[in-house]
Amino acid sequence: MKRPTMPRSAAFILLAIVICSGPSAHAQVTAQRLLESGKEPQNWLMYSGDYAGRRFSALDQVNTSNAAKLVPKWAYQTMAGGKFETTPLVVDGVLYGTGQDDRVFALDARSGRPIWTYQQTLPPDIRPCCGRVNRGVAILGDKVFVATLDAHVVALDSKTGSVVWDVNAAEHSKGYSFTLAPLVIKNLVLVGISGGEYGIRGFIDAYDAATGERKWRFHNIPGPGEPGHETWEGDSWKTGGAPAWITGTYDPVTNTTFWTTGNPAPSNRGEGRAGDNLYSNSLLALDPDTGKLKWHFQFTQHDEHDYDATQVPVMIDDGDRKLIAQANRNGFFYVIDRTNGKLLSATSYAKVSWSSTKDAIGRPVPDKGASPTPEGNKVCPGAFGATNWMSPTYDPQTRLFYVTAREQCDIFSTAPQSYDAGHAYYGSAYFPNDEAQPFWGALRALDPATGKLKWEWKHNSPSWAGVLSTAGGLVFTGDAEGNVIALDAASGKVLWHFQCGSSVFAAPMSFAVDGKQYVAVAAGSALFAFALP
Amino acid sequence: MSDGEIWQVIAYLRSVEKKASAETAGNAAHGKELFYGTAACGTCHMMSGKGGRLGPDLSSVGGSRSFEYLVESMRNPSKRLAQGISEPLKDFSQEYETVTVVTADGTKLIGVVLNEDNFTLQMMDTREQLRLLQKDKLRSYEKSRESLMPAYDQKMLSDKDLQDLIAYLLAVGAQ
Repeated sequence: MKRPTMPRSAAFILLAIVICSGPSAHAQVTAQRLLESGKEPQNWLMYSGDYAGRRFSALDQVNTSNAAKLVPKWAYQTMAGGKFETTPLVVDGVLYGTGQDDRVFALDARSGRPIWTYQQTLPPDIRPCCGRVNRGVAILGDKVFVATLDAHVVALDSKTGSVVWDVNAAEHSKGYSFTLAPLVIKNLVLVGISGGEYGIRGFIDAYDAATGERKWRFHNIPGPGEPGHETWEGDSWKTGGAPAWITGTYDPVTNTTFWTTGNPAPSNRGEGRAGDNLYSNSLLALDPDTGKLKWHFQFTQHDEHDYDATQVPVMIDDGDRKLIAQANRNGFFYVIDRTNGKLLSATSYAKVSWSSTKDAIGRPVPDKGASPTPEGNKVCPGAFGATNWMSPTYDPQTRLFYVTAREQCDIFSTAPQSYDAGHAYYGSAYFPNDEAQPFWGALRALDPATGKLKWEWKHNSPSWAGVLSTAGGLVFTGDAEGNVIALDAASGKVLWHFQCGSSVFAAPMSFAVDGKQYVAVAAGSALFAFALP
Repeated sequence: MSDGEIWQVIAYLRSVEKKASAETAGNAAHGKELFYGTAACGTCHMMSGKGGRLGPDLSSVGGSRSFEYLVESMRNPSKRLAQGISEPLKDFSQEYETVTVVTADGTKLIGVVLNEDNFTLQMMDTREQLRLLQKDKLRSYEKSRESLMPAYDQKMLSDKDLQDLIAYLLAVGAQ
């Protein structure tokens, strides 16, 4: 049973929005609008703000000269516990977000007042590895799309929250789940599965936005007879993980969608799955119409440290060079030619001990001595990685890439473990090493042209917040202590901060309504919106 | 992981948990005399509502920590700083770090960090005064992982007295 609810006053609110917002309000979100999202910076039409995954807002009303005056304008409480990871969308004055346990909400973006809410009724035997989280929706036409912890993809009416269609993608009790925000390309809704900790066989799906019919599935682990299948030992491919739990990006010029994949399973035991384990920890270039693989690039071969490559693959145009930049969980900052998958550079941006050499194409390769051992082996980055799923941002004005980095090494151990469907499948345990100094993190500004650090701003403790850059010369992020922070994008100087009361586990975004720019971010159980007085 | 497996893991963890045991401890009554007397532990630590506030409350530590941990905490308190406040969703608890600040008016304060973020500091000074400070208003701010607690070597605390103190911690912790 699904529970859409709509306050009695919702119809009046909707009417008011239409009247106040002029003729463009609630125009259909067409595929063309998504392609040209840069033409309407007042809206935030997809998870990363644009198809390039830059998480850059062209709004500049809030800028380096006035950011210190930002004040909270409203807060929306989900009243749910756990990590609140959403990046909301804003379309013509309506904000669409998701909360813990697959809540979905539509708000008046001016006031934060709810228009409708929906919550997926989740069965008791779902298998979320890392929190009952959801990172957001996608939108097309008059539908918003959410992918849920019970491995369903659901289309909701954007004006009422009513279910239009609901399809089941996989068996949730075996560890399959969705946590990411879908990506709409043309008439298709693309999603990637979570569950690398449960020995799933990862995939990326595309569904017809109108009907929910599945149009294609790309298995992130090749089956028998397919190229790459030979990189798995025996039947290990059947339970080899390789999920795709972060939203991809899209290059309309070449009609290519880029997705990144997670760890092979069991995550910390390579024995029994000899080989590179394609396409775990990889960047995939897919034809969005067919799901056919154009090329791939694997960041970490035969991973034994849970170094998911599930960081947004950010598209950067540098003159004639068409690039993808990714600060990977394994501690290297990769720059790749997105027309062919050729690696251009791989530079460490955090402490790294798992790889000291590179192969013929410049890829860092794992050191033999870095493998987990029964007694435990200290390796950097630690299990949470040098970064994780938190979104980075690329600012085309400073031409810098900003990423939340973490400095922590862990002790990786390993032990035999049999696969048991629906049960955690790590083949290991890890624990923090006994260093005297506490672990720490930083917001780092990297130059994609050189891979070098331009500046960093140290967090009090490691942060799980993503980063937003804006045309106002600002970057926004958050910290584990509950602060939302605005910094000068060029220098890293802090210009403003606000204490939200609980850790920020989401990336900020920006939108405008009635000519006023807002910056919104989730923290604790609340979504906050900030603007100038 | 099923509920049954979770309980199996909990049972395992409990089975390997090292607590101070009666066999390794000494005279609890004498330990109490030391705590509030010559060892001066009670100057900074509270037991059952009596004592100081600068260090962590030790009322339950005897029921949850190993003998080795308790010995280390007294002989070498800086090796592993005690943990203070934990906040939901935050990866690490605040530790009892030592902090020295000089306020805008030139006042020098030494104490322990109760909590902090990049912009504010909540500390207790050595006179047990709460100090709630904005970092950008301070003349100076310095943290140290050297505990304010002295390292109780053999001259300050014999092995027998240490055993007695642990016996006292154990007796209260078992309540």
